[in-house]
Amino acid sequence: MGSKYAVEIWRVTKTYGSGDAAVVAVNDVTLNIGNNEFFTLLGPSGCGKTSLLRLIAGFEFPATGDLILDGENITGTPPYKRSINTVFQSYALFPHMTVAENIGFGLKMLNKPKSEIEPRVQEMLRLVQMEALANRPVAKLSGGQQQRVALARALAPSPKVLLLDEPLSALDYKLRKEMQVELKRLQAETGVTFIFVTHDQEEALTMSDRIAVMSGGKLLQVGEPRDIYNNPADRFVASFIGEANFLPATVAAADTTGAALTLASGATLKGPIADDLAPGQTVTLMIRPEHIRIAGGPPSPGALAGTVADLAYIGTDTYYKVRLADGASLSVRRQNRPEDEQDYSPGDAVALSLPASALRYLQE
Amino acid sequence: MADHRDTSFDVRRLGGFTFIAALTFFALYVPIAVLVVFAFNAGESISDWQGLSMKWFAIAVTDARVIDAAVRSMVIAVSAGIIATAAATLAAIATTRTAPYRGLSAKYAFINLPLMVPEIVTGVALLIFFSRLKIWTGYSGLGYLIAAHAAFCIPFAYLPIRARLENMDDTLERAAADLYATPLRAFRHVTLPLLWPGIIAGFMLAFVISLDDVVITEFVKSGGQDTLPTYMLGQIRRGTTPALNAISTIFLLFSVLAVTIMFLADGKRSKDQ
Ligand SMILES: Nc1ncnc2c1ncn2[C@@H]1O[C@H](COP(=O)(O)OP(=O)(O)OP(=O)(O)O)[C@@H](O)[C@H]1O
Ligand SMILES: [Mg+2]
Repeated sequence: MGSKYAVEIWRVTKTYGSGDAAVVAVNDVTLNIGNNEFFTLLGPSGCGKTSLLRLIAGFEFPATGDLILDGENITGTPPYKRSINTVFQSYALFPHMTVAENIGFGLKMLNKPKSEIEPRVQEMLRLVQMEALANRPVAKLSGGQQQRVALARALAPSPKVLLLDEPLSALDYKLRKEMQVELKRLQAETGVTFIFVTHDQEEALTMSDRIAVMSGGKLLQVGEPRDIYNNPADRFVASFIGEANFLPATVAAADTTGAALTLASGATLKGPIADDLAPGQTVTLMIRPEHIRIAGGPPSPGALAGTVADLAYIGTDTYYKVRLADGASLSVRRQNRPEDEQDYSPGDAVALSLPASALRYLQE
Repeated sequence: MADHRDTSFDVRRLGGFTFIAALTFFALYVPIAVLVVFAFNAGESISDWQGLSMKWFAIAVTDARVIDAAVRSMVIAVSAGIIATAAATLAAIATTRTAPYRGLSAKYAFINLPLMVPEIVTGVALLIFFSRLKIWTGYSGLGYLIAAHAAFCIPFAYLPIRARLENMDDTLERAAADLYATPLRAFRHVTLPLLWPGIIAGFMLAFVISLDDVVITEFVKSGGQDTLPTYMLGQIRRGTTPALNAISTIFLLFSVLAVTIMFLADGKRSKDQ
């Protein structure tokens, strides 16, 4: 108790195989995860999320680096001595045991007396709303029910940290949405630190206190969902979380009030203030589709002229693909409101305004 | 089920299939049926039917030499079965619960080697080896037969146990470790209960194989160590009576029982998973 962080990961590297066939699954990752946090590891398939989780759980050991659990170095500690429990993607319920026996397994292995195990199992059954099925063999449960048992089983021994490896990916859409809410509730009620793995950016944004974006075994950015969405560290993060438009530009002038930018087409834009901009420098601008405003007719000063190339109606919003004079195309997302009299069709000339406050400079 | 008759190969459409199948079943089972029927013959002959009687069963099961050989067969088959199953279980765990490494398939082959070595070779080798041992140690008890049987039964016990381990999700063992089970307790509470059907199947197979071995037993046994099969072989040399049929029939019953238990145990696999 009393440590500032639940888990501290310090310069951890994990390599599978050796020689030419070696794969660096986790590459020099340093990360601190706070007490009580709902922390998400997000990244594309094969980026090393499961590998990092297995290192924390103790199923694998790092080649270099240290793991600290609640202030205690656990780098070489076997999994059965770590106060960390896992919800496996395949659930991994013990098929020869009932629901209650599954949930009580961890406490039994901790040599707790029956008088302590039974009430705790009841409490967990209530927590996941499975009281009625306590004596059911787990083989006779639906996917959603198995999921709840797996959660209850992992929470029963009151671990310091709960690891969840894509626990929702096997569920259908509706159940998935329900379980997202359920997981948030469980985390708030139990106060256990959750480390959650997903490759679904929407799931990460809606559920997490903080998100770590991974790619190729490396940590690209760690931050709160808003932070990462609004200020992505690089092009990969910008396009992995949400949608993004990228525009190459040259800095014409920069001062403490903002920057003047020239696009390839010669059009000019106002950019936000940034520390290290110098005239003549080339930069990549990023803007989210919903931050671009679209209007009919010729452009007012500061707006870009373009032609609607394509559109997609998705109910709440409409996506427009707009081609600029220099051939670059931008994706624009506009909310559909009853008072908006005008819809644009392919071929229509439109004006796009890109507010300076919505533009971001990206490292390539 | 869709009807695949038009598109896929079906051996039943080959000419003469039914005839060959019938002939095969005939050749396999009719002699056995005849043997069983004549166990109930009232007369002395094993080919002339002279009425129904249970007398040969009575004669067989009260014959002291038959009882002696049967008890010895059971002692050997149970002991050798247990030893072989224990060894096979450990071998199966060692060869499945490990990351693949160079030389692993050589180990599979090594474990299964007794299946490929002709029994007569094993028999002669053991005869020479054990005859020395018998002189050096002065011991000539059943231990040699049990050891020899255990050795050739290991691959039979190994096969179903390994198959079951391979079908078992090793995430379960990881989950046990995650829930504070030491490796030993994970084995006891998770691996072993799920492995039992395979172990029972392995034991039954080893038991049946040991029970009916003739060749190796003939070479290894000391004087007065007849098992039921070697005793029967000796009797046949002296002419046959339906008593042999009766013994064979009881024998058959035992084997069928053991194999049935094996199938019931192993069949649980598909229901569990
Ligand atoms: N046991 C292993 N042996 C060899 N390579 C492995 C092993 N496990 C993972 N890898 C490799 O390490 C890299 C990271 O894998 P990992 O399973 O951690 O990715 P992931 O982010 O969880 O992907 P996914 O979203 O598909 O689950 C991949 O390139 C993978 O091929
Ligand atoms: Mg994974």
